[in-house]
Amino acid sequence: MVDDKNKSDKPDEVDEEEDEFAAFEREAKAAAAAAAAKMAEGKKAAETAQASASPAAVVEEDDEEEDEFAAFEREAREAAAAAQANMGGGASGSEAAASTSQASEAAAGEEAPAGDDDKQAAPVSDANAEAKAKALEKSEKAAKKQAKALFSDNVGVASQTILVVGGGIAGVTAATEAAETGYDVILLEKGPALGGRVTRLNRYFPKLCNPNCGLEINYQRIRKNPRIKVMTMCEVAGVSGDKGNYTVSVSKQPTYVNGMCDGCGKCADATDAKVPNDYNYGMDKISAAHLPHEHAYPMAYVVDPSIKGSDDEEKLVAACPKGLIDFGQETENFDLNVGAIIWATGWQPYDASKIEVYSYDYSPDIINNVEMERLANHDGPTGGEVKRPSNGEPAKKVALIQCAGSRDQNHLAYCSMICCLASLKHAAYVREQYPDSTVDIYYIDIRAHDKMSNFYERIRYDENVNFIKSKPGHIDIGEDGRPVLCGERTIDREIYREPYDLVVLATGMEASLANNAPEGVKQDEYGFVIDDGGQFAAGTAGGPFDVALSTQSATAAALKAIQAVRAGK
Amino acid sequence: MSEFERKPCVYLCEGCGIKDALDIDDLERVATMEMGVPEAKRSDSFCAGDGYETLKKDMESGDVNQAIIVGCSPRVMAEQFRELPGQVIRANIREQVVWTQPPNDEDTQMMAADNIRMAAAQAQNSEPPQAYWDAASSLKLLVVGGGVSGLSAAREASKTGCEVVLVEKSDALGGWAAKWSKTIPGAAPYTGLQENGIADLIKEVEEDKNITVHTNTIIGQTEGMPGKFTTQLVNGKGDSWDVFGSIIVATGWREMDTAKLEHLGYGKSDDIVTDIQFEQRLADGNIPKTAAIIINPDKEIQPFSSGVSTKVAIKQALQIMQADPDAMVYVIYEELRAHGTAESFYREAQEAGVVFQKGEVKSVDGDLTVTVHDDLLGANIPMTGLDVVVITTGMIPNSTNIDIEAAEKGEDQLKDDIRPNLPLITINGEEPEAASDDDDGDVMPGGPILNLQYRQGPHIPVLANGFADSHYICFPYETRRTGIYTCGPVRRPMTIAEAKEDAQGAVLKAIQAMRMSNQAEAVHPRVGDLSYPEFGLNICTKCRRCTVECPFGAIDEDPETDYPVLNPSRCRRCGTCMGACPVSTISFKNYNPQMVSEMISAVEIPDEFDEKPRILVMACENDAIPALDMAGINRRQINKYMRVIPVRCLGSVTLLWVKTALEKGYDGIMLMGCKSGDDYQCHFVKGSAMAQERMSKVGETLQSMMMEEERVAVTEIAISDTRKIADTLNSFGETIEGLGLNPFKM
Ligand SMILES: Cc1cc2nc3c(=O)[nH]c(=O)nc-3n(C[C@H](O)[C@H](O)[C@H](O)COP(=O)(O)OP(=O)(O)OC[C@H]3O[C@@H](n4cnc5c(N)ncnc54)[C@H](O)[C@@H]3O)c2cc1C
Ligand code: SF4
Ligand code: SF4
Ligand code: SF4
Ligand code: SF4
Repeated sequence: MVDDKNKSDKPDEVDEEEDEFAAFEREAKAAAAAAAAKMAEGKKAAETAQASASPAAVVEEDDEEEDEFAAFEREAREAAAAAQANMGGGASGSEAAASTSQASEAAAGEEAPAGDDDKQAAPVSDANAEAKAKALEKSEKAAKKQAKALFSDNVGVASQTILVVGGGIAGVTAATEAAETGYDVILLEKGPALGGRVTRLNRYFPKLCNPNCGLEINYQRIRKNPRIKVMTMCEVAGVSGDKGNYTVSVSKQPTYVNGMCDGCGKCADATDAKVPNDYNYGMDKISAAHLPHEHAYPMAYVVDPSIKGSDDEEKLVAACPKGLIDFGQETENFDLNVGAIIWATGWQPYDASKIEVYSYDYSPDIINNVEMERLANHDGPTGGEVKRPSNGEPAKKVALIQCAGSRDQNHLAYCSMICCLASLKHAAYVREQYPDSTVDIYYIDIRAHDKMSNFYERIRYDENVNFIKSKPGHIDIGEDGRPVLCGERTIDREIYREPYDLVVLATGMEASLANNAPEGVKQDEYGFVIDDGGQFAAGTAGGPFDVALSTQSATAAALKAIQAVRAGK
Repeated sequence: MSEFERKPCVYLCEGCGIKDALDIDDLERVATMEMGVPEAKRSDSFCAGDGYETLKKDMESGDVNQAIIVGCSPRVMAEQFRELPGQVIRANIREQVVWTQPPNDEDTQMMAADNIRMAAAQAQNSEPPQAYWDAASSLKLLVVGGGVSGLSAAREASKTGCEVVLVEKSDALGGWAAKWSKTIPGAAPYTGLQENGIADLIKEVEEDKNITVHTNTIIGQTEGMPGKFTTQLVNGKGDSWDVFGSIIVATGWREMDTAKLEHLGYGKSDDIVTDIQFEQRLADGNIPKTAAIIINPDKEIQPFSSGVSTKVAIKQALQIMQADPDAMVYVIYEELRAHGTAESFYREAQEAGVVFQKGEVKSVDGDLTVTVHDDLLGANIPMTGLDVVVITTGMIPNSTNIDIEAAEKGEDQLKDDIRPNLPLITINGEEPEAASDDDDGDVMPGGPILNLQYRQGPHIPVLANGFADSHYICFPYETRRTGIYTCGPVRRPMTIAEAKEDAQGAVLKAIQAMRMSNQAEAVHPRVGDLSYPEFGLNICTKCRRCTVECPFGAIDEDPETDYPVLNPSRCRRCGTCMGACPVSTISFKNYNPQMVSEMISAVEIPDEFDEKPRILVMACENDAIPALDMAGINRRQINKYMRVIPVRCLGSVTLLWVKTALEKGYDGIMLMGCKSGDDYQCHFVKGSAMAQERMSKVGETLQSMMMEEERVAVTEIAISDTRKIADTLNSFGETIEGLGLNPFKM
């Protein structure tokens, strides 16, 4: 519907129209100025002669329908009441309101301070007040109808549940956003805890804040919200059906710990067996019975499959005070019926071994960028000190190699968008730890997109961070075991052979589903998920994004999924 | 707080190693005999099994309406307890006590007993929150701006069943995008010039029955709050009023000041044009034979458009090549920000013969000679024989309405809050010095978009460079004005395809906010919270601290009486107002000055001969408390004299609590909150900054009490400081022991 009372389709009236527009703009300015004055002086805007109370009617009212919607209103009230009851409150909402109005009575009862004529109430513009009151009244009537249109359940689809696959930042965001808008959500995660890749990052660019900070807020939201069901250790095997009625087959791996683990940690005390620590990308070892990491949600222990059948089996079973350890657990397969699916399966670091010239497999001092995050993290293999994995000495001369595998037709053809920024961050990690360190960044372009360009500028202040435009040809291993970067600088054509304590390959993002997508998902040539009206991508399942773009796309995906499960309307 | 009849019961958990480390009989005695809780029950676990069933039965039957669960941290098992009908209060003796202290030790036992005393005091001084209203509220959405972002937002909301009013300042819909003859690819395979689909989108909107469009209209003023924004629409034919549940601001962007392009020759020739002007030539079919497109580096065109500019340059270069494959097009750049999948678009242009030239532009002359410093050759190279020189411009966010005068009151809201030019790396723990002193940032020109009738001013406050977000990494849509969201380039520079998706996200948040306010629940981050601040006006001194300090502008002053008036659905329930109030007359049903004072007082203070100091720790429950939990999970030993009270936000800490503690004989007080200032991490944006400001004055109080200033400390703790938090508390404990006991001890 276009309110075209101001629009003229006769071209010859353009000038007149413009004048009219100028006039109203003047008026608007006056109104704004008046408002500003009112704010500044704390008194009501003076009555304006021109102020006209045009009908506030924008939506046509449908009085007949009202009764039909009364039911909804009742429901909404009941829900609010139930929420109160749930909190144990006996008083009704109106009683609560009464306490507020008592307060305002108290306020009204007090005399205005003498001599403060500034504060004396000026008469409100009657016309405005009237128009406002009418608008409010009208809105109150319309609210019922609006609520029904927005939140009514009766939409004729088989399932209104939204399935979110993947519990990283995008999945967690999509799930909470959808649930808080009033929809039931199942959040599936392959691993034993939520948080995905970001929970293993040390800091976010550009604020250098720790990712668990935002995740914690999201976990609080999940803990509070009965609409979200979290299922860990679950992977989707296949999808069939259509929007509004999908059947999703799921397989759940055993953790050998049943149900309600309360995280007491007695099982971990009962075994000396150690396994590679997946949280630290295998850079250290952890007890075979362990909490996935200190910030794990759910906070439940898992037992490594290697214990099954070993001597420790019985010790563990005996150790759990709640008797939750059960080596009889098997892989479970089951189906879920859902109305829409959000793929938030994320990314994996491009396999650095495939870029053979960079010798990733030949030196422990050549690592990739996700390993660098662990190396700098307080909960990482070195307790947060950036040390050379080979000998544990401080890494004070560090090279960061950009586009390791990205922007390369033989590997990932696209730019991964985040690796430049990640490396800037890595420079900060090293520089903050060792005042006498140097960091050399080998790059093609520094792709600090939109707000990130400030971050780039801020890192550039540091004289010990050098930006070298060059794509290194290969990495040798020097006689002292240090990695040696070999190549040619693009700018001055100088050939270099430079040894480093530590080399970090800024590996790119590959879609998690690039090589192993379940049946029934639409993907582009790189393996990123494409929306199809009932299945949607959130975050890096849909393209190479940073966290800000992932949470944005996850919020959008939540809306799309909601639209899909309302499709029957 | 009188109506509520408390029926408390203590549930003492003996599981998780608690029984092995503590004397449970003693704890039961403290709870019942000492604190007067009528009953205490014990079980090996109250989170499951028989224990849980007992707890559930007690509460469902109504015998108990306040369950004081003594055991693990509130961060675990919350899913179990949220189902219980009644108030659940958690005393953390697992993570905080048993896991950080030696077992069966006198001090460990004292700490656990004190945690129970505090929980009992909490129960005695709190009651379940109740919703603040039950009036119907609007579920209609206002979208301001009729460009791609606004049109998409309106359509997406309509598709979700929402009624929309779309307000556009100009006489036509479509915004800038309507002017582009071809657009950038936004979907796989991310190559090929795209047709501009704006006309179709406009048609969809115009035909949509859920959407009412007002062109030639701006917002005169907006009052109220989520669920009840009362808004004046102003146009040539008079004003009208309408009521909205939430608002999306999609006012897009404006061109940068071309005066800033003069150093690139702008103005010297009609053939030196901006990319916006060049769009018109392309649309007219005015195709040059040779062209240079200069991608303006970001530092010249804040705020940060070079990503979009790069894609625009590629698009325009390709348009020339498509029209005339023999044309010569140079794209001159310092940093080619074809990030992400735009790489394919870049490659397409290279294959089509576009020449990408890296280097700094030294000068552009009136005869269209462009001199570029060629990095490869290390020399200045002149380019001649060009038909046109195109300079990319910046997208300045329309966070203000440039057509109307600046409002007197808005300045603070429009100043950069962050000093974006500050170096980032901290060497030897030293704060870096600012390289430039333009720390104050510029104030954006122009008047307010919504003209909010809020005490704190008419604008949506902005952060660096004019964007209104507050935690844009994790929570990109949050602003500091509840129920008002921004989308499109007013939020961050973006392309059409990105703006369309962004609109979907903003619509979701807007609908969610309407739903929440409809149910009297808080939105992010305390989602679903029903508690809200109440003002005991009988002792209010009208000092206005609460109205000024609320990070979300939720409190106004009554124009007649000057007393504070809460707009509950604007409120995020952080408690900053409560911390600000000098007479402690602001309270929540389940969180209030008295409650925490009583908790502080409930702790048993050993007399001076015991030589056992007490250290009060008031810690932010979002970051410091989880960090403390994690220190426990890692079984790190922490100072045995600490007594911990979680607070909603450091901003909610009132000086009264500090005073109470000192009078009661605590020897030290430590406040733990999130990082404030530049790159703040506080979830309530300003809460921890406000607290730090307030506490900076505590030294005077201490001096007046003849005590050392070191007794009260404020520290910033991030959630990842799970080692640092233990070290900090331990060294603070040593400091306090060094100072000796509080002279006020009885
Ligand atoms: C030269 C150039 C070329 C580009 N080409 C492309 C391209 O090919 N492909 C692509 O994807 N992106 C391109 N972009 C980016 C693209 O233009 C933006 O993504 C797009 O315009 C975003 O639309 P919007 O609705 O957010 O903003 P706008 O187009 O600015 O729309 C905002 C609307 O809000 C109205 N408004 C403003 N203030 C108020 C107020 N106070 N009250 C009411 N209404 C108000 C405005 O009149 C306008 O109609 C280009 C950018 C540039 C600089
Ligand atoms: S973001 Fe930087 S390092 Fe990563 S692929 Fe793009 S240009 Fe290369
Ligand atoms: S300071 Fe916090 S609690 Fe107080 S009114 Fe503002 S948002 Fe609400
Ligand atoms: S801070 Fe307290 S005393 Fe001051 S205006 Fe607010 S309620 Fe009144
Ligand atoms: S951006 Fe996220 S992680 Fe960083 S401070 Fe804000 S909420 Fe925390």
